[in-house]
Amino acid sequence: MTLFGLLKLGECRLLPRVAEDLLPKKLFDETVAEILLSPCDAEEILARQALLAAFLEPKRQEALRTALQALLELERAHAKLCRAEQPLERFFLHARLLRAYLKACRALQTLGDCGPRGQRLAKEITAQAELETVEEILSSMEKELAPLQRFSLSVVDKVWLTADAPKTYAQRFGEAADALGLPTPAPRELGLPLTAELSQGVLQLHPHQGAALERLREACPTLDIPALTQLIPQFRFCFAICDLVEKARARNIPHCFPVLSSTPRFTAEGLYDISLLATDCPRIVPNDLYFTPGERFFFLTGANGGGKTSYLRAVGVNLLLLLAGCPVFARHAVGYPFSALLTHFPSDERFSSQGRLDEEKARVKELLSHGEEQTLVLLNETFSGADEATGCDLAIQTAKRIQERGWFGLFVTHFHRVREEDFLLLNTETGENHARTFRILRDFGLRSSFANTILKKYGLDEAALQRRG
Amino acid sequence: MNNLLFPGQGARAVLSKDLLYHLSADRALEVLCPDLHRREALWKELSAPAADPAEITLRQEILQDFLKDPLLLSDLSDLLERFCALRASHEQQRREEARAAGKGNEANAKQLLESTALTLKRCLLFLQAMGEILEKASPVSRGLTALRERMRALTTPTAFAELVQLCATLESFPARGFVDQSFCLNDEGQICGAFLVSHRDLQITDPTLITKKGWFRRREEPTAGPTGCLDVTAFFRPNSTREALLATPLWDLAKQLSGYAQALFEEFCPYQSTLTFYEGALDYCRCLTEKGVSFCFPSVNETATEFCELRDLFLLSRARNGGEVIPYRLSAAKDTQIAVFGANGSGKTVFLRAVGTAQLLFQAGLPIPAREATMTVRSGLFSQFSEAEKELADAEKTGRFEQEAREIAEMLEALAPGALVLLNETFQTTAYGEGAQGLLPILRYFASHGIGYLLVSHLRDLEEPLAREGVAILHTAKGYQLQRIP
Repeated sequence: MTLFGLLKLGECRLLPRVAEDLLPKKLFDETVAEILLSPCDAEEILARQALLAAFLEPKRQEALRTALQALLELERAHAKLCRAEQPLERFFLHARLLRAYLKACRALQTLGDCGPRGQRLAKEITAQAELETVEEILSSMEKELAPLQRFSLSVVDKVWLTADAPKTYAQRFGEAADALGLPTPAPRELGLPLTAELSQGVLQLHPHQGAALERLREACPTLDIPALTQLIPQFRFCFAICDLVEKARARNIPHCFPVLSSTPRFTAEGLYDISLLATDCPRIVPNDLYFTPGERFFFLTGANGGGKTSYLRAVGVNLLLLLAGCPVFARHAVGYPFSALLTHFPSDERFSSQGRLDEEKARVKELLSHGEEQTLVLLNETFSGADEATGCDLAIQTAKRIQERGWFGLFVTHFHRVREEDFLLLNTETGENHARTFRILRDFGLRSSFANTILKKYGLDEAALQRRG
Repeated sequence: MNNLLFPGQGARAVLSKDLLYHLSADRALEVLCPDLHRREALWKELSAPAADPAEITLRQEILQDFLKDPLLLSDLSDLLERFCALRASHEQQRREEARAAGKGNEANAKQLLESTALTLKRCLLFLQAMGEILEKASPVSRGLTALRERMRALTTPTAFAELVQLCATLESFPARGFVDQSFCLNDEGQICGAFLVSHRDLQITDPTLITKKGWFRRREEPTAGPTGCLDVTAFFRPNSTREALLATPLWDLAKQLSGYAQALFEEFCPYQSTLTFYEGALDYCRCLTEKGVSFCFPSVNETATEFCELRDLFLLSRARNGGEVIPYRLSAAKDTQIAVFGANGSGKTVFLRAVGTAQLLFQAGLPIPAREATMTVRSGLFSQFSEAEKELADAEKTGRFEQEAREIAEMLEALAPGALVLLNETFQTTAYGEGAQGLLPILRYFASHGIGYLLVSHLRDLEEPLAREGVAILHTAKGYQLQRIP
C-alpha cells in the first residue's frame, strides 16, 4: 500500500541547535521538534494549513482522535501478533489484527473533509486497502474461532481436556442472586497466557476449525501495516499543535494561519513568544514584526530583562511554525517560506581548549556556512564574552556579512556602539519610572535620518538597489 | 441506623448543647432503662430526635406492635445478635482471603470456598428464620409489615432455595472428588475467565478403558472420547502454573459468594442496633407501667399541643408510683408563648421540665407519661437554665449574666421558625429591672420569628407587657397547680 500521508516529511534540514535554542521540551516533544526542523515549501505549507485548520475544528476533532486511537490499536495488535508463539494464540491475534485494520481504515476514510491531504488519504485507503476481502476473511475467521473460545478441564487422577463448556457455578449463583436482587460483581479479566500444551490440545479437539483457520490465514492479503502506522507520528504532530493552540487560547493568545508571501518577508501584528507558556510567566506581551524586502536586518538593544530574548524567540518559534505549515501566534502575519533558520544563543562556558571568544567566532563562522539563499539568522548576545571594543567590531562585521548575503537577521546585543552604524534598530520600551513594558519598538536612532529609513523600507536604498542587480 | 424500622434519613431537630442535662433526662433514664446498651440506644435518639412527622409515627406504630407482642422483639433480637456474630467471623474470613489471595494454592482456595459457601448458606437460613418469625407474629405497623414483605421477597422465590442448595453443594469437596473448570479465551487467545463447573454437567468418558469383545480383549487406543475429550495428563503436570490456573476459579467463586453474604450483612445487621432502641423503649414503658403511670403515643398535630395528665419524667423516675407526681394539663397553639410566674418551690421548673421532656420523647418516637396528648413537631428544642458560674471562664467574659447573654446569642444563631425555647429564670443574674428590660426584646424576637417559648421567671416586670402582647401568663397555685391568668 502506498499512502501519501497527512504530511510530506522532508529532511531535517535545520540544525538541532535551533530546537535547543527555541523549543522548550515542555511544549514540544521530540517528534514535534523533528518535524518543525524540516521546513516545507509553499505547496506543503498550504496543504498543512488546510489540514490543521480541519484539526482545529471542534466537530472534526472527535473523528480525528478516533482515527488516531484506531491506528494505535492497530500498532499494538501488530506488535502482539509478531510476538505470538502459540498457533492458537496466532489465530486469535490475526483476527484481532484484521479487526483493528478495518477499524483504522474506516476511521481514515472519514477524513475526506479534512483538506486536500485528508481527501487524498481517504481515497487511497478506499482504493488500496482491500477492505471487502479483509472483512470477508475476518467474518469467516470469527466463525471458526468461536468454538475454540471455551474449553474445560476435568481433574481427578487424570486430566481431561474437553470442548464441552457447561453453565458455570458462577453463572448459576449469579442468576439466583439476580432474581433476589443481590448484586453480582463483574468477573475479573484474567489475561493469563495459554500454555503450548493447552493450545495444542484445543486445536486437536477442533481439527476442522484449525485447518480452516490456516487456510484463511494463507488466503488473507498481505496487509501493509507500517504504511498505516507511519501516520501515527503525523497525527500526533497535528494534535500537539492543536494542544498548543488550546493552551494559548486559555491565556487569550490569538493564532492565525500566516499568509504566504512570494517575496521574502516576515511581518506580524501582535506576535507572541509562546515558549513562555512553558514557564509561569503571568503576562505575555505581544509585539510587531518588521522584516520586509527592504528592511532585512535589525539590531535589538535595550535594558536588561526588557524582553529582547523573548522577542527573538517569538520570531524564531513562529517562523518554525510557519515553515511547518502550522498556525502562528499573532493577530495577523505574512511570511515567506525561508529555506533556513539559524540561531546562535549563549551556551554554557565549558570551552575545551579555546577561550569563549574563539569558540564563539568558530561557531558563528560555522553557522554562516550553513545558510542558504533565503535564510533568517537569530543572534542572541553573540560575542558578549569579549571586551566591548572587540565584541562590537565582531558584531558589526557579522552583521555586514549577513547583509551582504541578502539574509534576514536579528541581533540582540548590549553593544550600543552599533547604534552609530547604519543599521536598523529596535529597542526595548521603558515606561514610567523606568518600568519595563516588554514592548519592542522601532528605534530610528540619533544618526539615522527619517528619509533613509523610508527608502530602506521600500528597498530603495543603495544596498538594496545593488542587490537587485 | 437507616432501615425499614428506622428510616433515619428525615430531618433532625436541632437541640441546644445542654438541653438533655437541663431536663435531667440522663438521670431519669438511668432508672427507667437500667440496661446500658439499651439506654445508650435511647440516648442516641433523644440526642438527635426526628423532625419528620412520618418518621415519628412510624416508630410509634412499631413500638406499639412490640408492646403488644414483646416475644416478637426478643426473638428478632436474638436472631440478629447471632447474625451479627456470623458477620464478625465472615470479616475474619475475608481478611484471611485477602492475605492468601494470589498465592495460587489450590488447597487453600478449596478451603476458602467451602467456608464461604457455608457462611452464605447460614446467612440465608437466618433470614429465612427471620421471615418465619414475622409471619407468625402478624404485625400491623407499617415498618414491621414492610420488613416482613422484604423477607418474603427474599426467601419465597425458588431462587432462594436454589441458592441454598448451591451453597450446600460447595460446602465440602470430597478429598478425591472432581474439580472441573471451564475457561474462556479473549480476542487475543489469552485465558480471560476461569470458572468452576459441576462434574455432572461435563460429559467425559475415558476412552482407554479395556473392552471385551467376544473371545478377544481389545484395548482401545487413546483418542478423543465421545464428546471430544483428550487426556492431557502427560503434559499438565502439577506445577506452579497449573496450581495458579486451577486455584483461580475457586478464589473467584469464593469472592463472589462472599460478596453476596456481605450485601446481606450490610442490609440486615443494622437492624440489631435498631432493635436495641426498641428494647430500651420497651424497658422504659415497662417501668412506667410498674409505677402505675399512664403513658400514651401523642398524635401529630400541626397547629396545637395538648396534654392531659402530663407528669415530669425525672420525678417519676424517683417516685415509687405515679400518684406521687402532680400531673399537668395544657392546651396551647403551636406558636403560643407561655410565661410562668410563682413563688419559689411552687413547681415552675418541674412544669418546664415536664413539657420539654415530653417534646423530646415524642420526637424520638417514644410514648410520653400522659393520659392523652396531641403535639406539634418542633424544628428544634433549646434551653437556657440559670446555672452556676462556669469555671475557667475567660478573664474578659466573667460573670453569670454575661454567660447567659452568650448562651442566648449562640442560641439565636441556631434558631429556626418552629423551634421551642425553654427559659428557666433567665437574666435573673442581674438587677431584676435590667434583666426584664433586656429579656423583653429577645422574647419579642422569638414571637415575631415563629419560635415558641416557655419562660419560667421571677421577673414580674415582664408580666404586664407580655400579657398585653398575647403571651399566656400562668401562675403557680396551691398544690403545685398552674392557673391561667386572664
